[in-house]
Amino acid sequence: MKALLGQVRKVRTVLVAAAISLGIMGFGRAAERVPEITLVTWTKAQYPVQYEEATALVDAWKKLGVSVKVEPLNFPNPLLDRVFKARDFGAAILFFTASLERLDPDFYTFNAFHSSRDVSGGWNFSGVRDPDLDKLLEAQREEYDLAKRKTIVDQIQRSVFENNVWLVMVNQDELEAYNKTNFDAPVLPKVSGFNDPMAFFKIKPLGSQKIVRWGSQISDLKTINPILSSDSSQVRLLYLIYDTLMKIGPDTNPMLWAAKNVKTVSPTKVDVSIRDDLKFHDGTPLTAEDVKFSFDFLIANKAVYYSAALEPVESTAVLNPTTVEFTLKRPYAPFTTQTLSMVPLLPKHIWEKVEKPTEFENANPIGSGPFKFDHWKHGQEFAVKRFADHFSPTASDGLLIVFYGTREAAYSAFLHKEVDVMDRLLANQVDELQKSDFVQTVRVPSTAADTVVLNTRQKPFNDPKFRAALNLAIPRKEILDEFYEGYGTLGASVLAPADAAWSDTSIKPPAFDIEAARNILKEAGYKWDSSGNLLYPD
Amino acid sequence: MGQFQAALRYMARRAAVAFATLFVLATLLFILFRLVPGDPTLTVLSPALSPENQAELRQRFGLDQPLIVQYGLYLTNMATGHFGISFSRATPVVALIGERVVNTLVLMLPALILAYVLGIFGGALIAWKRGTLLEKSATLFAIVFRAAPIFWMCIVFIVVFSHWLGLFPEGHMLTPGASSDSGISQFLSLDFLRHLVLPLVVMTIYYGCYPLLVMRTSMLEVLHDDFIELCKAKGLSERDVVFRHALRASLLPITSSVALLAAYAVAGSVLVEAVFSWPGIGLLMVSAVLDSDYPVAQAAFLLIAVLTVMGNLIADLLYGLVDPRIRYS
Repeated sequence: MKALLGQVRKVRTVLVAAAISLGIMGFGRAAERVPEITLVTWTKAQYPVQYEEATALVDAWKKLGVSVKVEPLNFPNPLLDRVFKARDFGAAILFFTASLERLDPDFYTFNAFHSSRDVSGGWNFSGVRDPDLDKLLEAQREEYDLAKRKTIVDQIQRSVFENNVWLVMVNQDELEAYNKTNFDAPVLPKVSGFNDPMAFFKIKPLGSQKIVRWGSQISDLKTINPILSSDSSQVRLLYLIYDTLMKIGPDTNPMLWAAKNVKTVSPTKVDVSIRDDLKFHDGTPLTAEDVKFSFDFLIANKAVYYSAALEPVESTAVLNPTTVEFTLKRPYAPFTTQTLSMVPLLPKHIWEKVEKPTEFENANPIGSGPFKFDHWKHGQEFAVKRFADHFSPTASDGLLIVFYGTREAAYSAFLHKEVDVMDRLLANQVDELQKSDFVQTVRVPSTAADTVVLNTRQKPFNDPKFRAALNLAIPRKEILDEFYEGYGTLGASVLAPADAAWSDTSIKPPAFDIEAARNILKEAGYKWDSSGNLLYPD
Repeated sequence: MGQFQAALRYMARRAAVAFATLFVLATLLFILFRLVPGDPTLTVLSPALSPENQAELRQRFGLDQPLIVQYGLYLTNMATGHFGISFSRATPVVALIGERVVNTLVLMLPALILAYVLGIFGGALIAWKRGTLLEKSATLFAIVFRAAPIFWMCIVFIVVFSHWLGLFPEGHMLTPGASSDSGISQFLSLDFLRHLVLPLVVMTIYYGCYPLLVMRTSMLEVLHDDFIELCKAKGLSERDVVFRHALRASLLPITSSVALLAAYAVAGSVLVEAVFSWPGIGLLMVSAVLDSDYPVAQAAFLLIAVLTVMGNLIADLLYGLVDPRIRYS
């Protein structure tokens, strides 16, 4: 009897031990379900396409067993607050507009993925912190040799692509139209078309209408004080009035503008000599003193839009009336490709007298650019006239920018011939316009991108396998065909193919493949419950 | 004399209440804008904005100060009529709003005046013609138009009168490039009037329905009063009875609504202006809110609050003038 009891006790001990060890190993415990993820996007009213893209992703990702909550937010706020500052999102569809300042690879690489940019307000939305990548990002900044820099930039693009943190869905074409009975646009810059002031420098009147009227979708210009300028749609209008030392040419390659020669004396010293026929709109000649002043002034007043581009500048010095020497804190390759084409040249004799530059309206801006300021009726129109003394005079007599506030209003005005130029058209509007005999439609491959940004600070996005699966489950072709009627290219690298000088075109867009995506998850140990919901690996 | 003093005391009390209401509203506005998610330093987008830049902006905007200091500054600024400087534009808020208010007023004042004149006489007329087809259809029309959202009406008018019929421009205040003048003279052109017609008609109809219906009801009551019988007995013509005697006596409920509707119309101008791209205070408010431009948004909302409260106050005081039977106590 005792023996029997002892036997039972022994069996019990064994059973208990087995149960405990099984418990530790996790048997009998239900695997945790991957929680619903938040997908931040734009409101349907503001950006219908980006909103619809979100719903397409909901359907696609559901096939992986992932449920998605779409959260449409108004731009700029609270969208920017959530994504830029609070970092309170799982995934976010961001819409990057094409702009000339973003063509230098530094913008979409260093700014977006360097660990120093993983701070409130920084563009490292995903929270990437990779010391090896950081080294590459720093190296491309220091390499002035374009070919060598390209090799490093390619490595970066590959690494970012394989890390699946920014899932570029499509690079949409910039769709535009102009009145071809009134004007001819022989030079339409790649990447940004009429969004590049260069297009307006070159547009040619054909009839009696000598002033180009552009139907703008913004509701007003905010400021013509470069210190206060805040976004690219506002800043580019400054370049009608103000010259820059260099410009991004119509073929996307940097070209000399007010500068006659740019010489990299050493990795931290750049000498720029300017043309000798530069003149401000009030007749005063533009000299090296003005160039030095412009850089010093924008740095001293912490002009926010230019601060990132100007940060590496240590000092400036006038060598002679047409030459300025820039000393940099450290080698900075984007200085010649980006900074010099961004900084507006201001007249020293006007701005040095301004007491409080941050509260200066600059109501009658004097620059040296191809157009001089004419008038600005707030919320209605902004007009500039031809500056005949410019070294590259415009073919038209001037430009009138009419603020419509919405795409529909501007489109309707264009149809009624109230304006001559219209940008950022929707695909169906282009199809419609092609039927009108006075319209020339234009399709410019651009660097604009619809990108899903994943927040690796949060579960489950911290798992590279999970991110890789999501990337394969993006119906890129369907999005491009359905929402853009095919006007664009499928997204792959963070540097769009339209940025021809830098994009690594050997990176191909991932094909939409749910099966492959599920296999990745399976191999990583993910499971599915009986109703098809995705479960974390044990 | 006693009555005069009572009236004075009443006015003083009402003014004090109005002032207190505005103070509370101003405080609420201050708090609300800071509660709404959105950081004014984040509307500066490109290229990458470093934390140092943000700190610099916060300092420039005075947002680095403790909230209580900001609040104190806000109240002092308001009391001195200085509303600060816009975050996103270098312009002083007063100048910015002043310019836009003019544009709003040139649309709204004529619309409100027309709405009331047509509403009052129309309401009197249909009350007089009670039971006729005119009365029935006018009442139905007024109820339908009052219930319809105003932005929808704007869109319908644009589709019909400018898209299909091509009679009027679709929006804006002037033809682009027609005049580079920003002064008063721009409102005297034929071009301006052409642009004014559509929004003016929509607003007149929309805001006219209310006085029309109120007037009709009020008239119907008055028309049954004894003094009307007396007027008729005196041998006055029916037209004189209705428009000289009954109409005047029916105005009381309308008086109180004028000021309120005016304030309501300023708020409603946001929608009309958005659809017609009319460069008034409404459009400015929308962009200020989206940009988290606190000084502009606060001042614009406060303007509406002031108009509402003042409207109420004026309506209260007018009561005594319109109807001598009312006694202040």
